[in-house]
Amino acid sequence: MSQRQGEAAMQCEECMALLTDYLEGTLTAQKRLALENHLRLCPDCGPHNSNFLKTIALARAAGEAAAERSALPATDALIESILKACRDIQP
Amino acid sequence: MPAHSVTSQPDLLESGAFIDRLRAADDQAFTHLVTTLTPHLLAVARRITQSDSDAEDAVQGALLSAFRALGEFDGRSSLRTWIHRMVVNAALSLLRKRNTQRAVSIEQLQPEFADGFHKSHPKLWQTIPTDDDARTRQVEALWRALGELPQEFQDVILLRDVGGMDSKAVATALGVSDALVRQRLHRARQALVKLLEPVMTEVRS
Repeated sequence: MSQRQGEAAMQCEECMALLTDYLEGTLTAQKRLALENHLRLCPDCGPHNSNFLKTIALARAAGEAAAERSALPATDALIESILKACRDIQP
Repeated sequence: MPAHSVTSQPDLLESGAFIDRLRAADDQAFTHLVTTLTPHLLAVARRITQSDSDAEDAVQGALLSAFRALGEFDGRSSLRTWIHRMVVNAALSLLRKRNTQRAVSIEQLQPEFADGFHKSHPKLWQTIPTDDDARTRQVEALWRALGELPQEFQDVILLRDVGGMDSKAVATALGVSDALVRQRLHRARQALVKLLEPVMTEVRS
């Protein structure tokens, strides 16, 4: 199997350390390619990366569930309450 | 109400004249500010605190603090960003008071390697279920796992992954560098993978 320069050197430990930088888009092109290549081929890092992404997705789902809980009447009441409290003080 | 709806009127809140009206305790200006920002701020705080009443306390407390501190607002960030940061900090502070769980060391929860290779073979998890009950169980497991992390690691997950803020905004809200946010985020995510492992369903090969 032919490997471009820089790709052959990546081991699991480095790959696992770079997952967030990869997702945040802060890796160099060479590192990104080496990491993608490693993830494709490694029988351990591939599944771990998939689990890592599922963990992030679960956190997002947790946030969406919290934000979507309907509280619109409470929002109006809260606005009234804040405005009343603000009128009682001076900046 | 979509979280980004506050951006539909981008100019009025950020104009110098509007800020002057706030400083002069103009009731109409303050009503506009509170009415425009509260739904979004409440959604932000609710994501962090997971509690309607804590979220309301955080938003009310932060807006009152902002009102009192308008004289100190120097315009280096936008008014929205300034107030958003106050709400995030108020929500995190309420969460800290509530969360008395003992944190484990983040180091103990990182993947382990021998000679650069995984010490054990990770098992592939099934995708996050769409079934409400199964999904709710996993979400609850995530909250428990998150509660076990040291506070600074909880904060970045709450803001970035749960709250959906981008890393730069998280760095601004917490007053730390982008690089430190990414480093904490990464270690926190790896720790959550480890803590969630026992409750996630494996894909059978």
